[in-house]
Parts: sequence; C-alpha cells; structure tokens
Amino acid sequence: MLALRVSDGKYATERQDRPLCGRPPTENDMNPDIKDSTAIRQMFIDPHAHMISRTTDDYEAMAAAGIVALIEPAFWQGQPRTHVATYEDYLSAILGFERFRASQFGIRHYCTIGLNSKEANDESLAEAVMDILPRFAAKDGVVAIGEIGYDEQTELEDRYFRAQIELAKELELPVLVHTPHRDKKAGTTRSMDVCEEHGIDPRMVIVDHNNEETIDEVLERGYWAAFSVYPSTKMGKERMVRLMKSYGAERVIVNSACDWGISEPLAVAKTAELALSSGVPAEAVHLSCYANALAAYGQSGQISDSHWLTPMEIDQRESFAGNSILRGGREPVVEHHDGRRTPNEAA
Amino acid sequence: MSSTQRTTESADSARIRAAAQLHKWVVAALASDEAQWLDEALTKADVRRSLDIAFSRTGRKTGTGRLTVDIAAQATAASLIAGWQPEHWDLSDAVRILLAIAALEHDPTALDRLARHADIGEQCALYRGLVLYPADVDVSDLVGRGLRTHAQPVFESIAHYSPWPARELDQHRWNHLVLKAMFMDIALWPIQGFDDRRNADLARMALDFAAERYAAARALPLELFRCVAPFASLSEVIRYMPDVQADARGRWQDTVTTRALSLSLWDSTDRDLTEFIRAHSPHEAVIQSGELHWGALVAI
Repeated sequence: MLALRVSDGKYATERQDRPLCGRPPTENDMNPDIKDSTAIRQMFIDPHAHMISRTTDDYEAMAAAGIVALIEPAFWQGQPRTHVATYEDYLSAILGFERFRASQFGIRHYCTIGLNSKEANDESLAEAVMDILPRFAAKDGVVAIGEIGYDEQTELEDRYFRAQIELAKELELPVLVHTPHRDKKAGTTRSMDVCEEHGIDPRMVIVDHNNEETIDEVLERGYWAAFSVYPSTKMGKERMVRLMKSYGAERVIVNSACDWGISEPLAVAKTAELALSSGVPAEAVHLSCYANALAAYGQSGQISDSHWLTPMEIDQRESFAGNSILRGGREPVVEHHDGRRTPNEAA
Repeated sequence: MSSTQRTTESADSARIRAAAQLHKWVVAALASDEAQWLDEALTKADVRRSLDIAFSRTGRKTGTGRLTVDIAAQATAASLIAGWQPEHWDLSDAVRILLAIAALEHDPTALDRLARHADIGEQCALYRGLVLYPADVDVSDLVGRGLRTHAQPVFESIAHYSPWPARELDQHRWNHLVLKAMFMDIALWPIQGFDDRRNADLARMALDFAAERYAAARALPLELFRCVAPFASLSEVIRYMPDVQADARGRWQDTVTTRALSLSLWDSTDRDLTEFIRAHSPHEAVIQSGELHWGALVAI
C-alpha cells in the first residue's frame, strides 16, 4: 500500500494514544476457504442482475459467494420513465458507473441494451428510445440486445420487439428475451415464433424467466433457456434443482434477476449449493451457473473468461484490480472476507 | 494581427500536425479492413448517427491494446506538442480522438454531445484528447464534469501524462485537482508540471487534509509532503510523519516510505526541515544521480 501509516512511532509522539490504522490485510483476515490453497473456490456468473437497484453490501456478498461476472439487462425501474432523457441516463449508468461500482468488488460487469416491453407501450417514448439505442448498443461490454419481448402482448410491444431483433442482427448481437409473467406459455411460444420469422438463429437467443411449463418447448426449439430464481414469483431454488435433475444442464442458465423488488442477489450461488448437496453433478452446476451464460453471451465477442482469469488482460483503466503500487495504490475494497464487516470497517 | 492571435494560430497548426501524425500511427496499427472502416467513419463525421455508432463501435474494431509509440515516435510527439505522451493511450483512445476532432470540424459542440452518451472508456478517450482540440473549443464544462467524477480512470485521463492541466487550469481548479487526487488515493507523480505549480494555498490545503486524516487515524498519501515542502516548517510537517525504522545513527532504512519522504522533502526551503532530511535520509546519492525518482520509487 503506497501510503503512510500514522502510528504511535518516533515522529508522532504527540499522538501516542491514537489507534493504529491502515493496517494492510494479513493472511488471518482471509476467509479460510480462500487461504487454504487446496480449496478451489467455485466461480459463478449471474447473467441477469439489476445492480443499479442494489447496494454495495450486495456486491460484497456476491463477490464473497464466488460471482466473478454479471450481466445487467436494461429494463424498467419499477415505474415507467416519462422522458427519453431519463432513459438515456439510465443506459449511461448501467454502461458506466455501475460497471465501475462492480469493479471495486472485483466483479466484471456487462450489460444488455434495449427498450423493455412495458415502456414499449408509451409510443412517443418508445420512438425516441429506438432512435438513441444504436448509440448505446455497440459500446464495449454490451453483450446482447435485451431484455425485450412481451408484457401484455400488445401491438406496440410487438412492433418494438421486432425492430430490436433487426437491430441485433445489424449489430451481430445476441438477444435476451423477457417472457411475460402473465399468459407466459403462449407469450413464450409467440416470442420464439417472432424470432424465427425474423430469421435469427435460436442459438443467438436467450429466452428468460422460464418455468416448468415452458422449458420443454424452449429447449426443443434450440434456444438457451434461462431461469430467474426469484423468490415467490418466478422460480424457487428447490424447483430449479428439480428441473436441473430432470433436464440436465444443456443450454440451461440460472440467474437471480435481482432488482428493486424482494429478490435474492445470491440466488445463483445458493441454487448451486443446493444442487450440489442434492446430488446434481458438479459439471451440470458448472454449466448452468457459469459456463452456459459465458457461451451464450460470449457470442457478442464482449465477454470472455480471460477478463477474470488473467486480470492483466482487463482494461486496467476500468478496474481497481489493475492498480499497482506505482499507480497510486488504493487498498482493494474486497481483500478479506468473513462475510461480516466490523463496525470500524463499516464506518 | 496581435501576438496573442499569432500564438494561438501556431499552437493550432501544431495541433493539426499532431493529429495528422496520430492518424498515421493509428492507420499503421490497424488491420486494413479496420483502417478502411476508420477512414469512412472520418469522412462521415458530420452525420450524427454514423458518428455516434462509429464512436461506440471503436472498441470492437481496435481491441483493447495500447497505441504503439516507439522511442522515436515519442520524441516526435514531444516535438509537436510539449509534454504530449501518446504512449499512454490505447489504440481505441486514439481512434476516438480522431473521430472527435473530425466531428469538431463540423460542430463546435461535438465534444459535449459525444460525452453525453460516453461510457467510462469513451470519456477517458475524450479527456486524453484535450491536448489536440482546437483552442477555440470551450472544454471548461466538460473538464469540470470530469474532475468531479468518482471514477478513478476518468479522473486520471485528465490528470495524468498530459501537459494540459498544468498549462490550462487556473490555480483554484489546479489545487482542487491535486487535492482530489490525494483524496481518491491517485498518484501525483504522473501529473505533469506538478512541482512548478505548487503554491502556498495548496500547501495549506494539503496540511489541513493531513490534519483531517490524522484526526481520523487514517493513512496519508505518500506524496502529500510534495505539496508542502517549499512552504512548510519542520514543526508543521513532523507531526504527520510516519513511523520509520532507523539505524543507531538515525539513518532511515531504505523502504518505499523513506524513499517517498526523501523525494518529497528534498527541495524544502525550510532550514530545519532540510537539515532533518539530510541527517536522516539514506538517499542523497541516488537522488543526486537521478536514479531515484517518483517513476522508479519501487523499481530501483
């Protein structure tokens, strides 16, 4: 650490009563799992997490639980925006400051860009958003167009869903489809029909928020099937583990979809833990909680495991991880984890 | 024609030559398809949608590597614009700066427009380009936003490896740049022209900052004493000094901390402080020889 420690030493005799501070973390501060070189920490990706609505405590817990990367899909924020300008600032935030916030915890942050199905119903807003999307969708770290699709399956939703599939084709990006919460089964079928009408390869499409009723058709038609383990509404951990047992892990992706609602940022890690303790093979857990998301969104060319496995390849300007002593030596925020912070650290 | 006008015009012609040189380096670094893509994008810099997509897509065309600027090219850069260090730029920065310069030819507000939608990497590129924009482009608000950022890389893209801040910022903004750098634990040594722009007000702010951190029992940035050295007395400095190991004769051990202390306080004008450093520092020889400097604090 490139910083002076104020201590009760030779040149600080006036302040001998001051406590020591700025102590660099030692081995003893570390989680025993990390310290023990024989224990390999499981790595996870949460490919659907609205971190803009979450706290730094969540980031800290996710990093401690093994989340190395996450994807933040553009969505609404619980209430409709009424101006395109607020939409622009939202897209800028998930591309910019949110990525930077994640990097402080050693988590790589990616996003998807799109006009969501709810706000697609405000035609004047939707037209203005469609006009600005091309400006955002090609930026570094954008791994898909999404989340797009249907909410109430209106004409306007349909129009902008189709227009954005065309944009994804133009920019050679995968598509993240949000399936409707109401009339889900028919809405999911219709979403895939529309994708096929526009000639996009099912392997370039991640169909999200699946459940027991939709999984068969989505997998059968060759799409990636994502599941949002979101307490009480979408999918629970126990149900997810039952699905993993019945269907295996091919093209199955687990995410948390954590957002401003009552949701669980550790859903991926907790589902993986439950799956392993329930006898799901480790390889299937690895696929559904890490590798499949990487393969699906990796088709954008913007997400690669080298970003976290060989951090030197990270664009160091965007990360605290690349900080060397010569560059200024900030203490990494995530350095030692026992799952709790002391009152001193919290202060 | 006034002499001010002449100076502005010659500075602008240097910037134009520098941008042309940058274009040559960029084209040499790009594959032929990408070079062709760039030249098309530059000719369409007046078309908003085309410019916006090109500016965003740059990273996908260039990858994430550095702009290659060898020793000879570094000398060329410095001869065109004193202090210009494009070897600290990425290839994507250079491409985006060329796009921004092309856009400025059609629209004097192009920087603000591009910055409005810029992600962190794009913001860094826009700020690194400050040395190359025409003098009549008003960048004051843009720089103000950049200096208020919480994103360390954005701040560094203005502050580090650039002659622009020392040359262009007034004292108030300069002092706040330095203070904010320390506040964010960002290194001072890559800030060009730092020593020449030290001033009594900055020294006072730095000592107040030290007092605050001391009261909070928090670590001080190692370079803090650089701000203070020409203005403070031994008694003002010593209470914030770190605990360092010394031999029986009072000579400090050679550590990164003592190196930083030696470098920071070597040019003090206070007699007691000068004597104090000469008595305790083991670094006189390496400082005099130039072997120890901020860029080599850890390396030697």
